[in-house]
Amino acid sequence: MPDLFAHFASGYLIGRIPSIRSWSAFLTLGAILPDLLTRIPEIILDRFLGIPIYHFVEIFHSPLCLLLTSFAISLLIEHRARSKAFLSIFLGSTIHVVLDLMQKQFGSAIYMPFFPFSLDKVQWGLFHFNASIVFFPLLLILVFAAWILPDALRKHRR
Amino acid sequence: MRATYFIERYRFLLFFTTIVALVLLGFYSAIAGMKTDYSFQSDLVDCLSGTRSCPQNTIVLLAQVKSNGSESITVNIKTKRGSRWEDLFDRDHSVLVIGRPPQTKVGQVLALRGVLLSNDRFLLEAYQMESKWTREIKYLISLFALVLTAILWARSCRFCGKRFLFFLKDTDNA
Repeated sequence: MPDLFAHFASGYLIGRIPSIRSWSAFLTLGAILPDLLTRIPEIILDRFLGIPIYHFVEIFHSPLCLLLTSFAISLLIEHRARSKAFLSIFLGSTIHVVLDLMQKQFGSAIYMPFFPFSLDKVQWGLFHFNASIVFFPLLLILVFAAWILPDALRKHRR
Repeated sequence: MRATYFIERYRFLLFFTTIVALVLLGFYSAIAGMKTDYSFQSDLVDCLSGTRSCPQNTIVLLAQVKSNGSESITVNIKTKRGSRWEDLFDRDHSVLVIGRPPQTKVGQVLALRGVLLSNDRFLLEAYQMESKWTREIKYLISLFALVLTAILWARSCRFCGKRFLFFLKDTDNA
């Protein structure tokens, strides 16, 4: 996987577009959601405790399961924001899956984008799975600028 | 409008139904995945012990370096799953890796891609030796992203435990 910061940045930077800015929290949550539901249980339960949970949680890199997950999460959001929250979370998580599919794994592919209709694993092999670490400084600057600059400009105008 | 009303009225029922659907899909994936893993591992164990012919296609194995030679290395192959790392490698059968393997210290764990020529000989095509710091940097960066997401959520939403709902705050803070 690209590291979680790269996924965070993909959601957050898109969420800074003024017309969708109010949904950036949902978009960002969506962008990290697949790894929240896959990697954290995998690291804690599988690697440290030896409970073979990997195949159970790998479904959270499939668009259909992410659609259901986004729906479940949006049910926890207040009524007036629910539909936009659902769309933002699902869009963020879809961007995550697309980024993950672009990676080149050392072995065979590990993601099943067509689950549950097909168990075939897919990768496009466009960049190395650790490439995101190289881009971390650039992404950090972009995120920092997007986080700080709008507030600073607003204060300056006042 | 009707759909919105329906969703609002049966919010908890829909929530738990969706969770149950996800759990069922998870079990389906787990059963299918573990079946494939078990079949591969059992073929590998039989191949290493010499009771069955080895797979002829390119495979990826995790291996721990047992000894170093000038043109080859001897490794123990990971054949089990579990949390105790030292118990996962087949110590009874060593495999000689040929094809320019890396010269590395004994005990180092490597991912090897190549073909098993026989039960004790592996022709290497590529290897991967992820340094410990790469993984740790990735974990740190990821933790940082988690903290930023939590801050973003705290600035954008507030949680009402009584109604089990997130409400949007002033969206300018987002």
